[in-house]
Amino acid sequence: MNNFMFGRYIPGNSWVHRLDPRAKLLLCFIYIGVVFFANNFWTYLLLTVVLLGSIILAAVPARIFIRGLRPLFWLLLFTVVIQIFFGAGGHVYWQWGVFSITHDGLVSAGLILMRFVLIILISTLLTFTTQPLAIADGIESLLNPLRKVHFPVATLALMLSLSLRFVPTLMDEATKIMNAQRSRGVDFGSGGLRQQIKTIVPILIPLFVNAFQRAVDISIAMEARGYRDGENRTKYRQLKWRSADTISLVGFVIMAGLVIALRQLT
Amino acid sequence: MAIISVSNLTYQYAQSEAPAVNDVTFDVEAGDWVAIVGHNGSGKSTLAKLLIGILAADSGTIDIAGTRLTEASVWDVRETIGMVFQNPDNQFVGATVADDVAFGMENRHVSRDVMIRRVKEALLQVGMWEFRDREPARLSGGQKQRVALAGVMAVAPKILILDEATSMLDPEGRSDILNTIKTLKQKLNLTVLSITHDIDEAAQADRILVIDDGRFIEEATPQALFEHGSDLIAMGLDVPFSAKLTELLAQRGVAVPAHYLDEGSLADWLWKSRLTK
Repeated sequence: MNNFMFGRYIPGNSWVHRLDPRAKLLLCFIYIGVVFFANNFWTYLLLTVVLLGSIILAAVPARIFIRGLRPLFWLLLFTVVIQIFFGAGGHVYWQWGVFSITHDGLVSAGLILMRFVLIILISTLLTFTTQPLAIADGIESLLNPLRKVHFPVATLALMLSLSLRFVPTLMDEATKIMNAQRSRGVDFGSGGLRQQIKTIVPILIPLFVNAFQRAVDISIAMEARGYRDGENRTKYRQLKWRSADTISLVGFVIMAGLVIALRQLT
Repeated sequence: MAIISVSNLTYQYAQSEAPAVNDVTFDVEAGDWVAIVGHNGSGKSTLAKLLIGILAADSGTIDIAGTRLTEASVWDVRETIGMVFQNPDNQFVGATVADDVAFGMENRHVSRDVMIRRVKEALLQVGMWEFRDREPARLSGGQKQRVALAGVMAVAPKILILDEATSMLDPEGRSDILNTIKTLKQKLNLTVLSITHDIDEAAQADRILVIDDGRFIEEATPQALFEHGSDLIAMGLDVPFSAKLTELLAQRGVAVPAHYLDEGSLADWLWKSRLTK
């Protein structure tokens, strides 16, 4: 579990770390949206440069990014292979039944791979530089307009932050239960798939039972501390929008405009 | 006037045959420390839930600081009571220490400036200010209970209810938190109601109420109660080490004093008795 880098927060105090989570979420959305408009070498070059620039500003070592990509390697490979074999059009290099390798197939496989990598890297950059809690705050703040249609934004945000808060607690508990089962002779991670699934069940059941008990306890504790409903509460934590946030947002909007302009080049 | 006044309180869980709390009547004066002891399942936690209106009594009344507890007044009553529960993890709502302390204030619409000030004050009081940005996963059980206490203190209640608040802590964490509570009680003139198994926690009280099968069976000062020795186990308390030792000494024919001695005074008595021999 500890080798799993995707979605992890890397503590730091870089320029990107200090950006407002709302700004970072917006930047991420803009970037991902623009990736789908990219269609030629120049647009991808621009997107790559912006991404590399952001990564440098975030001061997160490159090897951590590569480690973050590793679990997704098979997914990437699978997508590329499908694109290569099933993409049609242009010059045909090789054919066998429904499988064929064509010029257009190769090109679209390359583009898909590029898009995939860009999207994964920018979202990894977001999670590497933003605490989960800050992301939850950012989402709450961005969803705020939905209050007008009586969408329970604050309740949703509290649910999000409570679940985040209990992730390590439940992880600890799972480890404890696994150790308890190990001490009784259960061998995790060996045997066939069937056998492995069988060893998971005695972990999940106590974990679920305890999680429900915790949920009951925490709701009582919240009520005892005066929690009535999510919407009418004051907020202790506040987000601060600074000029750096505006600057980076303007930068990304300019990038989006450039990508759309460069589309016409082919 | 009594700050907590309970009369003829009865509550029965839907699936059970006997009432969990059966015709219970008691008063607690402002500024007192009262311990409620009893076995598992004796009804002590149910009593705590009734007091803060998590459960609604079948019959009987509860008056807290002059307000009758009803469905309409339950939120006002909760303003005057702070409660610390047994499991340190299951009452930590905030994502960090400071957030958790602020939670109760956020519920009470306290403005942000006041919150920032009071979070600091409360955390300084329990000695957790340096940990304000820590996540709960990186705190010990005792530290989490101190944060829970700070969260309660930040909303300045008149009454503090401890529902087995020290039972999941190690001895060090336990005496730590008890000392903090003692200090806070004195400084803020709190009324403390502690529901406990722990003899050291019960020993802090001015008065101990023993509950069994949903009824109060005895009321006494700690000193009077601890003279019962091994009968304490029957009442749901762990016998204190000094009482165990006194009893074993008596069995060996040593003329021990008949009244209860805590560890310190027993040690004093021991070394003095060696001198006079």
